[in-house]
Amino acid sequence: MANRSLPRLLQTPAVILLLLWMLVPLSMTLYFSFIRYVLNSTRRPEWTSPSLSNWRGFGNYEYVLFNAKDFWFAIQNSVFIVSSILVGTVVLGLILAMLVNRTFPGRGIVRVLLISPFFVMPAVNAVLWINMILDPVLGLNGIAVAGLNNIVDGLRDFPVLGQFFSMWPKFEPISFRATQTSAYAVIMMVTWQWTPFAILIFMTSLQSEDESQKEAAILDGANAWSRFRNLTLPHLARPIAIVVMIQSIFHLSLYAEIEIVSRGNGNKNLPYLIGEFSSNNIGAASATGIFAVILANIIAIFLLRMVGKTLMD
Amino acid sequence: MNFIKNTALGLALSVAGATVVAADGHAKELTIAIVNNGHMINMQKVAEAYTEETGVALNWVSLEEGVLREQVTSDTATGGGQYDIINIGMQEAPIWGAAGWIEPLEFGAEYDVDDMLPAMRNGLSHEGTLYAAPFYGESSMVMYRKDLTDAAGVTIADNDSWDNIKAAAAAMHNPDAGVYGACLRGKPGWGDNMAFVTTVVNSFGGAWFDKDMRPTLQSDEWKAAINFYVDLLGTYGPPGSEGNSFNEILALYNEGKCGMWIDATIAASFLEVDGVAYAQSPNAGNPVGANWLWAWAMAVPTGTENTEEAKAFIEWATSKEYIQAVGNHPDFGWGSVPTGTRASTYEIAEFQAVADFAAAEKAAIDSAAPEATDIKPYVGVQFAAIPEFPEVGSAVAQEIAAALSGAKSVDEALEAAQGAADAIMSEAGYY
Repeated sequence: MANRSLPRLLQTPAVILLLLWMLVPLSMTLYFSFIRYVLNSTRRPEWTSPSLSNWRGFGNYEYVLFNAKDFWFAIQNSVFIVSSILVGTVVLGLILAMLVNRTFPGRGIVRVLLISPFFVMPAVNAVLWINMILDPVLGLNGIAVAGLNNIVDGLRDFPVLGQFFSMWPKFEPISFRATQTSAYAVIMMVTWQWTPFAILIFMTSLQSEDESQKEAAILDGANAWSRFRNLTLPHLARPIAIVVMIQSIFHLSLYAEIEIVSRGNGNKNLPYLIGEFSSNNIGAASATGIFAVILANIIAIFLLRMVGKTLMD
Repeated sequence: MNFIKNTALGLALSVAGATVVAADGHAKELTIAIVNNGHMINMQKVAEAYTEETGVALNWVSLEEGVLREQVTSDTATGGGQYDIINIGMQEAPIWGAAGWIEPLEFGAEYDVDDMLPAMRNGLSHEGTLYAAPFYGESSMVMYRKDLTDAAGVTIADNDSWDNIKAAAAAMHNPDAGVYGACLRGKPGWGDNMAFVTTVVNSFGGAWFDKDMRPTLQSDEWKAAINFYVDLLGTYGPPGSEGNSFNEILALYNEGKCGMWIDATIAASFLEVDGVAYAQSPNAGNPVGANWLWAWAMAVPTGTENTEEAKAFIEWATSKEYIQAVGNHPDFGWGSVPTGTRASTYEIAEFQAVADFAAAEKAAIDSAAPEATDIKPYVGVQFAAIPEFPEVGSAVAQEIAAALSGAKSVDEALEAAQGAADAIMSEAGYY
């Protein structure tokens, strides 16, 4: 026994620290979610200090679920952006990783360039995309559309062909900060930023692929698609699962991009909703936080099963 | 981009400020939280003279507006005492004064408190007691391109009617040449699109709440105002207006893309295009003007231990001498003095010589009335000075942006906005 209790004793500080690290914030959030707690109120000053006398039961949860704006929208939209980003990064990552896995001159430089978006900070990424690329007047988007309109205008003067072009409508640049489009802007910029992560993981995995199997498949007359489908893809199952898991954890908590692109107009997730409540209503913010924990756990269990399965095989 | 530059500058200066340690062993230290606007950033440098004179070391914490608000609110609400002086806006000052979070301010005769513009003083007071001293103040006005109005044969008068404003925007609107009639705020946020939208609603005779503090967002006045706003900006505004606020429009204006812009008077000092003229904000025939009132002010949280030193610094930083100190500072000069706080600033000849917008700015501030009236039961022009307003304002702001984007009709957006505002107000215990 003695030789087992010593290591346990030595582990205790670390374990206690980790428990406190996790339990203190979680239990405070739980506590706040069951009481009335606001930062400031002129009508009900007693609500401004957290105390059990402000007990509210499930009132905060009820308010968030049924009275407050956008809870269901935030959940739906979260799922929509996260899954779109996952599909985008995995597909693009696969294609690009396969391409750069071949030998060609300048491969080193191309790989470094492909990886570099990952080192841009999220807020900077959003500011650059929305102002310099997607802006409908001063950004690349606006300049490109204006250029296209100019070209079409020029072509209208040609004989015969001009007839055809004069039927073309004038192109309008799309605003990516609008209610209808802001989610797509976020999906685009996050996909751009995280595709390198997928490429990196897939590339290292592709390098460990068994070349002799591939050669045998070529000798058996398998075409490129069936080699990819039956050899490479199964080989990549594990890295794909890892990419999906890590990215889902990160993207459920997207905040900077949503704030910078549209300030929650047409595009929201639970962390953003928490941010909106926390300007005053800490009780509602905490209840939303608990919902976010539940949602994250559901997804985590689901993902762990999936990843666990591929790791077992 | 401006924001990034300011933040970088702010960080650099805070580091520089932190390293200035008073040689005097028993000198006091003050920690000051400021918003990273140009005037405040300048203050860090101008105040080096104050440290030299009094031996009080100053630690600056320079933050972006939203972060500052969050930090300062939680620190002050919990009595944290992290800061000795805080930068707060006109929305917070009366509420925080009422809540006892900040100290009442009284200054000596030399400070000449009667020189402070009355609108500013009213907006920063609660029941007649001043709680925050204005560092710089602003209102809103029309800034338009005189060359374009002349070419189009239209004029814009002071307090013009909205119909005339629309006609002028239509006359200047020429997207093929890259000029849009009117650039206005559309980015959701209670301090962004709602600042402008509320002034339009005010001028149509509407208000945020009725006398029971129930939201009145589906009133005829709101409908008329929002329909007008969406129509004006949707038809004669640049594409992507739902993403534009002060900084974005400033960039567009300086690229020569805007015919007119109705926004903060402070914008005038950043405009680089030729032929800019100013007019007082438009009106729809209502006695409450269509111009807003805002100030960044300095206050002393009750949690601090250095109350006296903090008050003394505020007295200096919002005094007439400070204005002189900025004007005569080799790095800044009269173009950079903080305006909108004192009547005497506008009488300084050197300032008048470099600021052609001075008269228009003072007129706009003087005509703004923050106090409660028959139409609105709350303090504030483009906001309501209640703790719940940021939450209500942000929720409504998103709906207005949705209406501007065309994702919802104005009626649908106002219905959703009313629902959200009603939920927040009843949750807060108003009814």
